[in-house]
Amino acid sequence: MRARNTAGETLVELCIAIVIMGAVVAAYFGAWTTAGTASKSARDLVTADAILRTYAESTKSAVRDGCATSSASTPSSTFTVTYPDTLPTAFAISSSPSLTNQGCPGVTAVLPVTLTVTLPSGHTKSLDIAVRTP
Amino acid sequence: MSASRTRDERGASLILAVAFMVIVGAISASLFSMITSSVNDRTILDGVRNREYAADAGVEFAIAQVRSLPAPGDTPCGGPYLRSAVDGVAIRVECSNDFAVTRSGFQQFNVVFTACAQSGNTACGDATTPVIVRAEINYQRAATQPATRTYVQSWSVNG
Repeated sequence: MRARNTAGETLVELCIAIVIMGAVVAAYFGAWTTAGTASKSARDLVTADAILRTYAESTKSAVRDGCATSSASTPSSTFTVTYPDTLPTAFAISSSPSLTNQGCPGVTAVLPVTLTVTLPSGHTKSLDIAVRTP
Repeated sequence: MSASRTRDERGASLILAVAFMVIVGAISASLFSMITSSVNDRTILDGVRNREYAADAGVEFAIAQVRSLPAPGDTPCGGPYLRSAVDGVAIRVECSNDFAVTRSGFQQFNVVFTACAQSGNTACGDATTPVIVRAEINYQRAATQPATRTYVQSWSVNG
């Protein structure tokens, strides 16, 4: 039996293979880039969490140290919170109310504070805490 | 060309390309899975953190409430104290007096606070309401006098 004419078949196969592999490689690099972006986002979220926790503990510590009195039932007048470390680049923190010269809470009340950290992406994460005069 | 093709090799390149596609696809899928898992873990951990600080805020609130009593640590401490929507978590705080006398006869007016997520009227410590924070607070005061200061004797967080 005479074989049919297969001239050019390999070329066509190679062309198809190159197109498929090209598409796959392009998709792979796209996935790699997306993974890198997602990884950075996850890392930023972890950093934001650490900042929030540090800020929260600093706030509680400032109230504990700044508002305590030895024997009176009335608290000291004000307290100020300073973030204890250098903030990572492009992160920012804020609070509501402001924690600079903030009046101490009454001895039978708590002061609700909302801490907010702004990520490099512009997104924000918040944490609500309550502090009280010891 | 066909004359030199002694064996039938038609489709061989295509098979290789498809195999390559499958392998790279599997790698990409696992990469995505890893990243998705990482982001999901972060969300869960954020929830745990919010629960902890909500319970913390609830206990602070309850401590302040008990401090307003005429003789904290002696008279019934009241409660449960309910706090709604701190960090999106509603908290229930229960308390009990834990009066003690030191070896030297010094009276300690202590109160134990336990905080858990609210679940109807279920008490803290139930299977559905595990204790998040347990704190023992000392109210410094003279006998039958209001408290002048509080001291944290212990503070444990169970996440």
